[in-house]
Amino acid sequence: MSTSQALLALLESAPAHGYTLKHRYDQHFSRVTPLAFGQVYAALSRFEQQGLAKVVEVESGSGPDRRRYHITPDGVSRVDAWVSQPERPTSYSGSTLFAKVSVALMSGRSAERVLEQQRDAHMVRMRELTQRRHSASPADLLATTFELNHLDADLRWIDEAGRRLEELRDDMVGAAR
Amino acid sequence: MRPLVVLGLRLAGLGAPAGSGRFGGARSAMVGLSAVVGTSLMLGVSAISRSELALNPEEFDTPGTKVLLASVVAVIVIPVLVLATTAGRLSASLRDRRLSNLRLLGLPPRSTRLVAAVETGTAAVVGSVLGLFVFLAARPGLAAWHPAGREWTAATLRPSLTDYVLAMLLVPLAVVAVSSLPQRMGAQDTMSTARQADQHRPRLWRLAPLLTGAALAMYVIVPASDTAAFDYSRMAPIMFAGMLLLGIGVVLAVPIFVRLVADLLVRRSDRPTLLIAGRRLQAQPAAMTRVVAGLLIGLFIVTGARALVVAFEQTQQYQSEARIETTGQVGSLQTSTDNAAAVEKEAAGADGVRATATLTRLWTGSCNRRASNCLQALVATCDELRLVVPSLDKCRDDRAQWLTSPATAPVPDPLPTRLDWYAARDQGEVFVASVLSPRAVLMDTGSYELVAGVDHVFLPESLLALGPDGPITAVEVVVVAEPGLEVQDIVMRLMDSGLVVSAMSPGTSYYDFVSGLRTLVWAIAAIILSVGLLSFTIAAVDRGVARRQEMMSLLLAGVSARVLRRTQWIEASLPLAGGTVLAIGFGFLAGTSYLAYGALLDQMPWRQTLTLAGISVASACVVATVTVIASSPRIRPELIRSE
Amino acid sequence: MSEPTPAVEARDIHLSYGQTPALRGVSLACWPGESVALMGPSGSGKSSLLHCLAGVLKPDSGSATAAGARLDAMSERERSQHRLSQIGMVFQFGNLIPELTLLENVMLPLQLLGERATAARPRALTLLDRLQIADVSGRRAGAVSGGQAQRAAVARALVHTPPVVFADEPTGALDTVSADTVLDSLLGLAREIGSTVLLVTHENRIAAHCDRLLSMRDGAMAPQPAVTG
Repeated sequence: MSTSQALLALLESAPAHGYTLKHRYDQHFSRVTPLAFGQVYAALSRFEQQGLAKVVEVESGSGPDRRRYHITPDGVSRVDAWVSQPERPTSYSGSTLFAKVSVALMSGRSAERVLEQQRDAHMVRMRELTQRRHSASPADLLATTFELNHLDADLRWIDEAGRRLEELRDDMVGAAR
Repeated sequence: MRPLVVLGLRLAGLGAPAGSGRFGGARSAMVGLSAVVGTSLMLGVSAISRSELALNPEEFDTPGTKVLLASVVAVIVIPVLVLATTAGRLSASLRDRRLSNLRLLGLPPRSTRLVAAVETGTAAVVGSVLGLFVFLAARPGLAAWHPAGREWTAATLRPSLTDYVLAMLLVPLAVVAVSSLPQRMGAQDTMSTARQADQHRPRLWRLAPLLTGAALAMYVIVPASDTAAFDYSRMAPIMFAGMLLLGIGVVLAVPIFVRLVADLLVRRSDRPTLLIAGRRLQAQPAAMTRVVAGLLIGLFIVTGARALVVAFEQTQQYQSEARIETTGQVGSLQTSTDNAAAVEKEAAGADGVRATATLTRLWTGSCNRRASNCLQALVATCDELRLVVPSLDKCRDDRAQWLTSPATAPVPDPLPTRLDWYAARDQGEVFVASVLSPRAVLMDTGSYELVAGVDHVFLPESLLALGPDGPITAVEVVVVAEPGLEVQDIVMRLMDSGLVVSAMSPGTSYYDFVSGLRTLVWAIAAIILSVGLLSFTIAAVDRGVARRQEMMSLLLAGVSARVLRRTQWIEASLPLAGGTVLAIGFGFLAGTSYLAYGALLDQMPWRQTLTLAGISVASACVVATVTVIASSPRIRPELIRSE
Repeated sequence: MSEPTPAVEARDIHLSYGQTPALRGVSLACWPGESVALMGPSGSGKSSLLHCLAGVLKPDSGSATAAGARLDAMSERERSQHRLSQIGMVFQFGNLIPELTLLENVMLPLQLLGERATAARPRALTLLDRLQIADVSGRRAGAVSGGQAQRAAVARALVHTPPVVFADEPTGALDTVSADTVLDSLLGLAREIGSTVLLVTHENRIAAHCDRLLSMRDGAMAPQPAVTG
């Protein structure tokens, strides 16, 4: 799960302090394991260094949590690129996909396209794995079918999410305000 | 309790939202129809039998005839029961599944049975009541029918209270009983029956009763031609045992027969139609047994009963009365020789008289005219003899001849060259002539059809001196009526002239009685056939509908509807046609053994039995066609969608 | 050099069941020898499209072509005959006649097309052997396992070497391992014969066996992906 990408995307929707950003992240992407403050501040400094975000306001007082960040056009391009590029289909791409769809919904981008593109990528991978089965050794077969099943699970989620996009959209947009 | 009843009614298709109860509704309609048919039939038949008993008390006096009537009537119950049980088991697999679902829900067995009972029982009870009304409405029609001259009236066509109760209770009880039976006894889905097809070949022991019965029947029939050596007392139980075993055996043997036919079909593996039909028959040879069994038992009994009625038809009384249809009834008027010419002239001129003749009788010695210690001769010309014995072919006017075989006649031993013949006169007798003893026999078989007396010898008139001055004083003027007229009426009118001393003539009461029996047997046959075929059709259509999914898949795969229709036709017609012919054939055998026992072998009603067989086969074909049409597989979009 | 013609083609097909539209202007093309998966949720019309292409249903408008014949222009009898001789069909249930043996079921299309049993039998046995169910070929179809029955159904669909094979959820009632075996047999054999396969399914893993994937939703074809496998 590329946490920094998600943080950048959250910043796109509205400028924020690190503190606010962390809470937003926890609420949308990580209810069980809250993100560490250190990780957020580290990411924000990196953004500033890379020119993806800039500080717009500094409140009085000490501490990094007093700075308010704003995304730059470069940052927006980065988010664009991230959302529009399908993930490499592995067994672990699920949570990132989930993040991308949420981001797309929040930012008014086409969540349908995200899902479709990911679906196609997954299907290509599934086809490869299915072909591989014929020449696989029994151990390989186990690994192959393990991955196939997980890809299948992802695809099922993709279908379901696709059907619920409307409700999701309303919900996400409202929460982002 | 109330929700269960409502559920039962809903399942029966009553009170359900429009359209959804359609399937249940059709089934309930079939159950109701069966109840209407069953109840009205039973009431009709019991009314008719009570009417017969009331109108012909003398004929039904003997225990034999009572048993015949009772058994022929009881035979109606069998196809009615079969119809009721078939209707009760419609869509059996579907309904059993539903009931077991109810049990899974937690409904105790008694409650599920209640639901099932309400589901089928309601329609059955309604049908039963309707059947009562149908009978009451049809009763005037029955009274007006007058079959074979019967004088039934609404007063005589009265079933007893027990009859009413039985008729109205039997069908609903049968339907309810069979529909609440656990699934174990009923239909299984095609998968599991296919699985069992190989393990459960019908065992050969099923043939044993049939073969034993056939053997016993042959044991009675073959030696029967030699009447002298026939041991009646020993043969009687053998004959009855044979008949019983044949009846049971026919029903038991049906699955084997069907399996045999199925195996033959399967061997013709080049024709897919025959192969599929054969395989299906192999898988379920006993599937239709209950339905076919009722039909077969009925046909078997009816064919046997027809043969039994033949015995009645061979009695002298029937024969002479039956002449009304063929050569005309024969009556006789006793008068003196002086008046003979006048009486004959008057008789010849009377309306409806076809021919007349003057006959007289002589005896070989002093004997009471009806005693068996002397021979009796009939004096006439050959032509006159032919009037009273139309089947006579050889006859000589110059010699005395035996009329029938002298084996049972009181012939003096040894037979003298000449016999002396005497005429009866007041208290004594007077010698008439001495004539060469007869040698040739005029009639080898059959009965002697003259009205009165047992005449042993035929004496041509030319051998004797007859006439007003001769020794003979009493003669008989024989009157042959036109066919269709009762000679009784003519003879009564001729007696008024005062010249006639006494008269004898047959009526038609016995003839009517036996004709009525015959009509009854055929009517029962028709009813059995119809009801049995109705049951078969209902069951076959039900099975065809249950197979709809399979049919649809085959159609989708490109198998033509024609192939599927032909397969179904063969599968339905073969066991039915074959089974009925089998039942009729063995019924015929049973009847033959009875007639052989009664030395009436040559009177077997071949033609009528063959007609019945022909009708059965034709009906089987019609039923098969109806089955095919009703469950006809057609591609319908709605059906595919639900797959 | 002329363009290759599609083995299966639908052009702007419309179909309604009464008032309910099932297919709203659907078009597709399958090329000879390829295997295509047609996916979509229930009610999307994929089975209806399959039935139109197989000549089971007549579309209200548009053209349906399979194995070189315009099905919407044929009578019902002609379509049935075409289906028997040029198309192989595999369904989820009820492919076989339960009272017949597996061998007899597989021989059936050949016999219906006029071949004698002596010629049909070895062809059927060869196929059954390839599918590794030759040892149960003498058992009745109702007495074998689901996987064996479906393999026999595949054999029956291919025994007359049809140029086109339609399959509607052929493995829907099977567990994953049996499903894989059946599908491998179907596609492998079809590839050998050079048949085009159109497979309707709602399962991703099944669709992954095919060369190409099409999706339907609400009676219309979804836009095709830019990249194909």
